[in-house]
Amino acid sequence: MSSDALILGNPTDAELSDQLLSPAWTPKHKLWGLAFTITGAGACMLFFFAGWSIVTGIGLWGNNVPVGWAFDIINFVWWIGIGHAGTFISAVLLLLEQKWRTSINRFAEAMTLFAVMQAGLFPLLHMGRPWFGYWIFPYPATMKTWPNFKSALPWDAAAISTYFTVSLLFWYIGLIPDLASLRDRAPKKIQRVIYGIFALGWRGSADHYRHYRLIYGMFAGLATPLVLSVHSIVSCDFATSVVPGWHSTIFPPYFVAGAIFSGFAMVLTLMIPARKIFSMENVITMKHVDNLCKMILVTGLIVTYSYFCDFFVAWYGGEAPELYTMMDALLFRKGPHWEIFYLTVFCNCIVPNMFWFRWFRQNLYVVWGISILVNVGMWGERFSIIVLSLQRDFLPSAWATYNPTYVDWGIFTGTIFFFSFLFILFLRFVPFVPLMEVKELKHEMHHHQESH
Amino acid sequence: MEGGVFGEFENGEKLVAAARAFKQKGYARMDAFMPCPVHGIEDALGLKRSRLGWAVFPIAMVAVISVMSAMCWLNGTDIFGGYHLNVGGRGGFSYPAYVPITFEAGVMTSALSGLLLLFYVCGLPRLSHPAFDAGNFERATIDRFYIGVSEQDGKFNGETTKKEMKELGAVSVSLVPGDKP
Repeated sequence: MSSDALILGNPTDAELSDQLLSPAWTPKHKLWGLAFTITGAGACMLFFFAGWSIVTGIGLWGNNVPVGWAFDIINFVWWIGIGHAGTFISAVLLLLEQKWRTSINRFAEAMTLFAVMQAGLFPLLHMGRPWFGYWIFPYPATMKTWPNFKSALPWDAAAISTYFTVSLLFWYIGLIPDLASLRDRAPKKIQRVIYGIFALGWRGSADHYRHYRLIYGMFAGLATPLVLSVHSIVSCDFATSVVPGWHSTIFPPYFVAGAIFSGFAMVLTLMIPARKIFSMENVITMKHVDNLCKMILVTGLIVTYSYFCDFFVAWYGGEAPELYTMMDALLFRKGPHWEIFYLTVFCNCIVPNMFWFRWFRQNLYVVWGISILVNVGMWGERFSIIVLSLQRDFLPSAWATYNPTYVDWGIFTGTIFFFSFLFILFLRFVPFVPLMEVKELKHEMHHHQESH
Repeated sequence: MEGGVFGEFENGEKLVAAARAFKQKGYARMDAFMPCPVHGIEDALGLKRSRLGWAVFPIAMVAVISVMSAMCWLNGTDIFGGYHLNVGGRGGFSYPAYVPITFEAGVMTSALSGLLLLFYVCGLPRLSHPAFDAGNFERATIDRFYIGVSEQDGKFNGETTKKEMKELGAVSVSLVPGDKP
């Protein structure tokens, strides 16, 4: 069998349906139960540390002047970035008519949703008094004040809330036909009732499909500029300030490329074990893995170019504080935590170049390892940008070193567990490979073969 | 469509052929039910391209204009509860700085109105429909394709339509009357 096929074998519609829907009712895989327990416990750890931070205050964290933004903002940017690949796969690749998006789009969209949920936690906790979180939104307050709409932080609030809502609706619209299939195929009555309610009475009517497909396409059209805007706006949190190392015009495209880069890596990190555990190798084929690896290579090269540009402009601009931050503190290793910067360069600029070679793209162990390294690298990039810049700003008398506390680490690792916890629940309760679209693709490819 | 005669077909090609045949016989009120969109079915049933986009666009434009104006008012003037917020001497009507939020509001409004319009034109959510009582209909989202001829069609006649459906190759045919209002 060639490694170029998007669907292996020639399953009938009924076989395909049973295969893709059955994770919802077949007995649990042992690994799934183990993962459920571990990630559930980890999520509890997140709630404990987050609750403690709310009750006691964020003095529990390592943040202190001059490093007022640290793990909270790093993790926020990191998680939002991871979410971007989901939207990129489901929206941009749909508009570009890339057939390989079909099997993996639902999976990637769910990843987006759960990643944005983790991201949203951090600014909220960082406020210290999260119960006043709604102050960022304009409402007729008795204090007679309004948010400063010229500031990047209300932009952020608008972007993240729009991004989450649109991603959720896009995901749900795509799910409706598959929920109807679950309603019609599930063995237990209770499942039929619950899936039936969420399927809204969908019956695959041709009259509905013509509207449905238009709206689905419209969501793709909306999500495409949206995904580019969200990380651009996030980057403006930094770029609109004057901190050396932050005040840079390359930030919006640089952040978007980095976001998609880390998101594709996370898709691979999750997909490689999931396709194995649920035996989906025939619909998520090596062709999908290969294409994702190529996307990582492309976006990795854009990220590398952005690093180069950032340093070049610092040097060419010749401004002393900027030069000190970029050159001395990072490149010449005079600032604290310079190791993180070198780790970033290794993981983001050197490692992805292995994907030039087909052999590496075809070896799942290598691919999985690289996908982890890319995520480490992208976390390191955000650490470098945020912490290494703040540690060394204009006045040497204000310089200090940042060190995270165990509460910082607890919340950060807790979100990874919580994210995985939500994800494995998703794998079990809804078809993570979109059934309706895979069937359509199958019929389309069948037609194509016949007409040749 | 509401109740009528429902015929079950084995694949998309037979579905499209049957829809064409019914159209030629002069039936106008029909629908098809299928597990995934079938190429050519819209043409065969005489369904036109959806025009929902034309309804979403003006709603989004209203949102864009009102959000932009609201920000100019609330941050740029002192009238009607606004507060001229002077940060670093920047002007009140600094519209380029208002673009990001305006854009996000446009996207949010388009998405929400698009979804609600979709539900409205499709009559969803609707958990009970006569089609669900057609024979074998639980396979309509799995691997079978159905044509429904509405009982409100001028040419509709229970027995004749059933016979015609059989002749066109339906593997099962059922007559389900619509809900009485």
